[in-house]
Amino acid sequence: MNETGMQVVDEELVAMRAAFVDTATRFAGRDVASRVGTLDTVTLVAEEYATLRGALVEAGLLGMLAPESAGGMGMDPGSVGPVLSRIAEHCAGTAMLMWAHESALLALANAAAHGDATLDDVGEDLLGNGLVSDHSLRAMRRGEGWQVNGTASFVWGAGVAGHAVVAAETDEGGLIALVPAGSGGLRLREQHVRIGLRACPSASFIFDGVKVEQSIALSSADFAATVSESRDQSLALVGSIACGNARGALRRAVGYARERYQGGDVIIEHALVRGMLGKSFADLRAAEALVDAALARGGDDLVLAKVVATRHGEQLCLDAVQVFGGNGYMRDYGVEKHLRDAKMLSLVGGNNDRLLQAVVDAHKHEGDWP
Amino acid sequence: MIIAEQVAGWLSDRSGTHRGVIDIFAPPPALNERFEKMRAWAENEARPLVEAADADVHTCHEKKIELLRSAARAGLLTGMIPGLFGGKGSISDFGRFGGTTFLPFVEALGAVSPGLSTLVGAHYLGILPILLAMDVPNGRRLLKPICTASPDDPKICAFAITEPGAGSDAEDDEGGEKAKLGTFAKKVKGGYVLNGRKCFISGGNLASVITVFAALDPKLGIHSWTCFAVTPDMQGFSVGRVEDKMGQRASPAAELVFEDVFVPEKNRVGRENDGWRLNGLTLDTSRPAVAGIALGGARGVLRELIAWIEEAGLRQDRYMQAELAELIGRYEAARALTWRASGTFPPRRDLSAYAKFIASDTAMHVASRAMDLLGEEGGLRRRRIERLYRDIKLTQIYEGTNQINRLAAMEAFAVHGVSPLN
Repeated sequence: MNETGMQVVDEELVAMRAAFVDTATRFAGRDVASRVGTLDTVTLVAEEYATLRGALVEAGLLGMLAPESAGGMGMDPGSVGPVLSRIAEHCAGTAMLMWAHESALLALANAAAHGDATLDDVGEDLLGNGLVSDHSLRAMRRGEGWQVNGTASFVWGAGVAGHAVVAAETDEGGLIALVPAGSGGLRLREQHVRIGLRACPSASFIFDGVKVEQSIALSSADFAATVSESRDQSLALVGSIACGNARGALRRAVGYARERYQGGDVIIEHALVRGMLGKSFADLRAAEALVDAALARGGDDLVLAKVVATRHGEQLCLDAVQVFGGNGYMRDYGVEKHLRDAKMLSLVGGNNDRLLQAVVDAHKHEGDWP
Repeated sequence: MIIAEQVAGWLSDRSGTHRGVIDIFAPPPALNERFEKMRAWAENEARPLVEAADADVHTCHEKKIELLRSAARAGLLTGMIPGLFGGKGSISDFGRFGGTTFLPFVEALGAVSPGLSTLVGAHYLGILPILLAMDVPNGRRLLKPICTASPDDPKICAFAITEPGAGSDAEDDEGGEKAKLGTFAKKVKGGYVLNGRKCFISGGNLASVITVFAALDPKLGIHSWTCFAVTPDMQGFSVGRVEDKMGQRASPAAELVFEDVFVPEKNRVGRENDGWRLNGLTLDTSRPAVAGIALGGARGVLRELIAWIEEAGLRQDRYMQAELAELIGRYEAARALTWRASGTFPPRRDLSAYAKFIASDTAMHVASRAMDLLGEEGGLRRRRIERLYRDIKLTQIYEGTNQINRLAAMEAFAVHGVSPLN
C-alpha cells in the first residue's frame, strides 16, 4: 500500500503468485483429486500421507512460508492463501494439512522476527500446529532447555506431523517451541474423530514435563504479539481454504444444475435454484475479496475474513447440497464432503462469535475501529 | 387484601410450577404408556446401536438389522398398525387425533437419532397408502404377517416413489405434470407387469412389503400413477445399490429394480390411476412427521448443548444464555406449527409443507449454531451434535426438498386462488 492507502501493484509478486497458483491447480487436479476418498476417512493411512508429503515437496508446495535462509520459499501469507484455496477446491482437508505446516512455519518466522532469533532449517518434516486453538501450556527452565506442562486441545496435523509448533507461557513471557512427535512426557489424550477436514488429522495432548530442545523465548509483549499475529494470519488462511472449498462446491452445483432435468427442464432454469446459485456467487465473491484484502492489509481484518468466509462457506455448501437434492446427500457425488469440511472450517480456532468479540475487545477503550 | 394483590401473590407463589392448561405437545392419553416405553427404548437400547451404525459403514447393515429386532421386541413396528390389520393401533385414534398419534413418537426417536426415526417412520410411511386408500383386504392380507412376525425376523414396509430421473417431480403438482417417469405397469391377465427403477428408498432393501407407484399409461404419465404392493419374493424384483450417505446411517436407502415383475391384481392398492392423489395424501400426512423427525433432532442437539454449557460452567454466561434462548425460541415456534399441521385431519397440504420446511430449516440452524458455540469440540463425534447435524440435513431434502415444499404450499393459492391465510 502507498501512503494514500492505494494498493501498489508489484508485478514480480503478481507473477510469482500466478505461477504458484498454476502449480497448485495442477497439483490439486493430479495429486489431490485422486486421493480424496482415501484421505476422507477417520483411519490414518500412513503410506498415503508419506506419498502425499513427497508429492508436495516435489511440487514445491511444502514450506512456502519458511524463509529462503531456512530452506523455504520465502513467500508471504497473501501468496499462500490462493494456493491453499486451489487445493481446497478439491479437498479442504488436504489444504488444511498444508495449512498446519505453513501456519506452524509462520509462527516460527514471527517469533524469530520478534525475538531476534535465528530459525533453523526445519527440514522436510510435516509440521503440526497447536497454537491456533485452546492451549494452557506453561514452560519452565530446565538446564539449557525448557520443560513444558499443560494441555493442547487441538494440534492440527497430529498423527502425521514429525513436529508440532506450540506456544507456552514462561515467567518472563513465553516461548514458541518446536516439539518432536515422540517426545518423552507427550501423551496423546484423544485422536479426534471429526465431521470434516478428515484428511488433516488432529489430536489433543497432555504435556507432562516435555523437554523442549528447539524454541524461541520471547518477552511478554513479544510473545503476546507473536501469538496473536500468528493466530490471526493463520485464521485468515483458513478463510482462504473456506473460499476454495465453497468454490469447489459451487462448481459442482452449477455443473449439476446445468444437466439435471426436473419438471421438463434443466434445474438451472428453476427460479429457486437460480436464486440459491446467485446468492452463493455473491457471498463467495464477497468472502474472497475480504480474505484477499485481509491477507494484504493484516490487522483485525484477518479474523473478520475468517469469520465471514467460513460463515458464507457453510451456507453456500448447505445450498449446494440442496441443489443436488437426494444425490447431494450421497457420498459418491462429493458435495456432502464440501459441507462437512465447511462446517469444520467454521469451528477452527474456536467459536466465530467469540473471535469477533475479541476483535471488539481490542478496540473497547482505544485505537481505531476496524 | 385487595383482589389484585391476592392474584399477584397467587401467581408469584406458583412461579416455577407452570403447567400447560392444555398440553398440546403430548401424545393422546391412551398412548402415554406406550410412548414412555418407546422413549426409554430409544435412549437405552437403540442409542448404542445407532452410534455403532453411524461409525462404521462396513458393519452398519448388521446394526440396522439388530435395531429392527430390538424395535420389534419393543413393539414399535406394530404399535401404529390398526387392530383391524393385526396391529395395536387404532383407526379411530387417527381420525380423532390425526398425526399427533405418531408425532411424539417420531420426535422422541429423532432426539436420539433422526436416522432411527426414519428407519421406523419409513416403515409406517410404506403402510400409509394402504391405510389412506382404506384398502382393507390388502391391509389384512399384507400387514398381518408383519404384525405376527417373530422379533428375531422382523418385517417392515417401505414406500417407493422416487426415481432416478424423477425426484422432486414426484413431490409437487407442476413437476408431476412434466415428470420423466421411468417406472411403468402394464396391465396383463390377472394383474400387472412392472418395469423400472426406484431410488433412495428408505428401508427398501429390508422391506417385506413395498408400496410402489408406477404409471399405467406413458401418455397420461403421472395421471395414470397407480399404487402396488410389491413383495421381494416376486420374480424380477431385486435390490440395486444401497447408498453410502452423509448421515442417517441407521436407516438404509436403497435402489429397487423391477424387471418384468408380475404383480397380481389383488396387490393393487386403491384404484387404478389414483396413485397421484394417493401419493399427495400420503405426503401431506407424512410431512409433519418429517418435521417431527427434524425437531426431534433439534431437541437432541439442544440437550447436548445444555449438557456442554453445564460442563463448561457457562450457565451464568449472558451470551450463552441469549444464544440458547434464541435457539429454544425458534425450536418452540417451529414445534407449535408442526403440531398444528399434524393435528389437522385430513391433512392440509399447505400446513404440512410449512411445517416440513420451517421445522427442518430450524433444526438445521439449531444444529449449526450449537456446533458453533462449542467451537472445535462441536465438530467431534463424541459430542454427538455433529451426527445430529449430518442426520438433520436429510430432513431438508427428503419428502420433497424444502424448495419443492415451498412451491407445494403455494399450489392451492397459485392454482386455485385459495387464500393462503385460511
